[in-house]
Amino acid sequence: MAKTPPLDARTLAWARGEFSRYYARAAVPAPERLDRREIALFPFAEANLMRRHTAARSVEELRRYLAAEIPRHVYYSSAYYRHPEAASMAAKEWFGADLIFDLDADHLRGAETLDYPGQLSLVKSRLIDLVDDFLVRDFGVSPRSTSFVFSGGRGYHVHVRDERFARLTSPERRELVDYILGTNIDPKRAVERASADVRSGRTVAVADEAEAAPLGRRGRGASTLRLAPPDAPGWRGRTTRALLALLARWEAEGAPKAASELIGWGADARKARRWAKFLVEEKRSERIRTTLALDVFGQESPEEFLELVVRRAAIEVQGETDAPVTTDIHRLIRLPGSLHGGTGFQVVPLSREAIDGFDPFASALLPDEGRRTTVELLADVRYPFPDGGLVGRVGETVKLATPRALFLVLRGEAALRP
Amino acid sequence: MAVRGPAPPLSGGELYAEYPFLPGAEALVAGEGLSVRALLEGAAYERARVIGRARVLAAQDDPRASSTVQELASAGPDERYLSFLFARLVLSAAPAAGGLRRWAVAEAKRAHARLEHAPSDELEEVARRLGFVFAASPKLVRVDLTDYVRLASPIREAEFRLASQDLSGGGVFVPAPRAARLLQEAVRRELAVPVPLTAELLAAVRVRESELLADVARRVPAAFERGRARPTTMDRGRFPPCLRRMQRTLERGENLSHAGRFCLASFLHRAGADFETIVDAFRGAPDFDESITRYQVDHIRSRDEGRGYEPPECDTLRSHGLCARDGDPEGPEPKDRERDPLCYEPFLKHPLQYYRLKGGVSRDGKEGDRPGPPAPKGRGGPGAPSR
Ligand code: SF4
Repeated sequence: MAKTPPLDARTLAWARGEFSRYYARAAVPAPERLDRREIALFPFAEANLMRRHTAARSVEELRRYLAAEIPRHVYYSSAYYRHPEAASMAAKEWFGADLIFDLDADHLRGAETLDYPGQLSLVKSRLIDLVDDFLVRDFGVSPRSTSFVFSGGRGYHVHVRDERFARLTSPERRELVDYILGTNIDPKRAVERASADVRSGRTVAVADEAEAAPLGRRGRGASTLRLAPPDAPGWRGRTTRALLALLARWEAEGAPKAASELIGWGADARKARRWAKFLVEEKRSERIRTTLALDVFGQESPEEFLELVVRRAAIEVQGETDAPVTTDIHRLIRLPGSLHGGTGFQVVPLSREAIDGFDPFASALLPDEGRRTTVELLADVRYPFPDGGLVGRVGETVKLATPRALFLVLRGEAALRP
Repeated sequence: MAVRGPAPPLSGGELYAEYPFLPGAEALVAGEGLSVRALLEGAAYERARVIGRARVLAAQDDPRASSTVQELASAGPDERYLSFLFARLVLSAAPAAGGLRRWAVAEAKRAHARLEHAPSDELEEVARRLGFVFAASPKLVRVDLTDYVRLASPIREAEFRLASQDLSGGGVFVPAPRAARLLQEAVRRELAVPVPLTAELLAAVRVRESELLADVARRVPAAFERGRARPTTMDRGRFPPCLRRMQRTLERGENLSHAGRFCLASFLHRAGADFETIVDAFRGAPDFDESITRYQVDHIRSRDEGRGYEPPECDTLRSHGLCARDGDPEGPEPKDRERDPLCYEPFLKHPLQYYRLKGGVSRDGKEGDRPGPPAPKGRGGPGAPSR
């Protein structure tokens, strides 16, 4: 939920006025099957009470509703209901829900230490992994049934509208979620036992899981452990791909970086340095990258090492693990085309092609219509807006293009001058 | 779908005798002008009824179908089919669903015994007729992703989790034995739903087979064992919505997920239920097995010198789809169907906390916790909105 700093009545009225200019004219697009969705909103008010259980039969009705209510935040249900306006879930009669992914800096591991633009680009890179690697490659989702939205805050949403998924229940969605989050994945599955074929001299994989001996115990004869091919389906191939990418990066960045990264992931410091030494410094990672063989680990089991690495290939989340990839089939999601009440950014629908180059600072703020607003900065600020960015120190009084002033005020980093 | 392999080695008739639940199996008795009435009463079908009754009773005692039904082994294809129809008919007329559910588990097991060794094109064919998309290739069977999660989510074994599968392009590639186990689940689902009967037919079955139905009712373990009310400090009325729904699920004879079973057992223990009461709570499970349940319950409650395992907290239950704070549309009472305000308090994090706040006493002695900090305003409601 939006963390919205408390604003006084005068500021609320001003911000509401700015939003009303937008909603009076905005051509907010209708979500697919609008008439089956619940609409919910937070008004601009000191008591932050949500208004729920509304429905709109047409896009005109939706726009009139927004223009009249001037909400601070607007959501619609990912679910389809027979009676979306009914006040209880039972009476609404659920009959399906989109598959929703909500990637937000708040949930992603590693985002805590980054500034706002850094968080946004981290989220974007995970979003692209999620879509290309998990949804399209593995789930077979057609890019056509997928739409992307900049959330207006610190993240992106993916909506998958695919008949096949719409009726899945919560426990069934749970399987999909666990897959993406890499819950209980077993890195051993990515390791195959290869044995030298006596006649041809080539190595052949012993693919049958039942035949594969547990890791760590070296098999009889000439068999060795090696990684599954990078294009193997599911987590087997993904584990290999993650490891190969990591090794290539470490080769460029050097052993000390590799060791400190491993330690950061929870590896024992001595082991981390040893791994970094023989993999990176002694360049044995090259052998893995070119042959997939894991014999460079010698007598040691590579399992512990893989365990650390494989986690990096999942969409890593923290806190409430369901927040990003939801099994909640009644979930509310921000309405594309609306304004985010904590930033003033537009919630922008994006095509897959547009994601790579998307920069909210350049294209999600309301257009500068020449109006200026004077504010006092409550914090040091540094934002990469176009034309030199927005930089200032706490205590300064600055005159800004109104949309930028709105951005800072809604974020609680500036106050209107009395 | 993949290129179809050679025709199944089973002839049509044999296929239906082995898998009598398949749509199309009626063809077995096509020439006979079979009516449900005749099956129920006709002299010509006496042997089918005898075998059918044996099938019904065997399933009640042994839902895992570990032993074979003697009468079945010596019956011809059409008798086997008719006996199956008869069993399904009678159990669909039973007043309680438990008998049908246990029989569905047993019949699915029986089908599995054959599927396990069947060539993969036979798996593909059975799946197709049950409405699932399986495609056989020489080594692996491709199962459509959504079909896979539907069939695998109730299966508890870790190796069935999607995260451990070879998934690519919307298909899950599984070895044939795993595909056979998925089909077992498909069969169980298919058979656990009663066939619709007219009121007249329903009455007729109940009269003619009253003895069999009474026998079934005696053999189905009751969700709460009759007549032996145990004094306990536990008060069901104070349970949170999630736990009440889990109990209803089992009492209806439906399957409860592994996470749900664990939660129920650990919760009941903490809420003061004694060993037998906890075991009894699972008697309605379609695959209830006395000794396995006793073992598992014992394990859960003896943890930590008898404190037992900690039941999962609300966040975890929610992520397993077990939270019921939005109301359960199938709940019997209005309060079951409505959203629960206490569950929406931001300080409510644990089902035991709910129980204590409602005045229940739990094993670790905390009683009626003071309600937490006053709820900050503006908690959204179901489905926390995204940012
Ligand atoms: S909020 Fe917690 S206690 Fe209430 S139904 Fe959900 S899981 Fe149970």
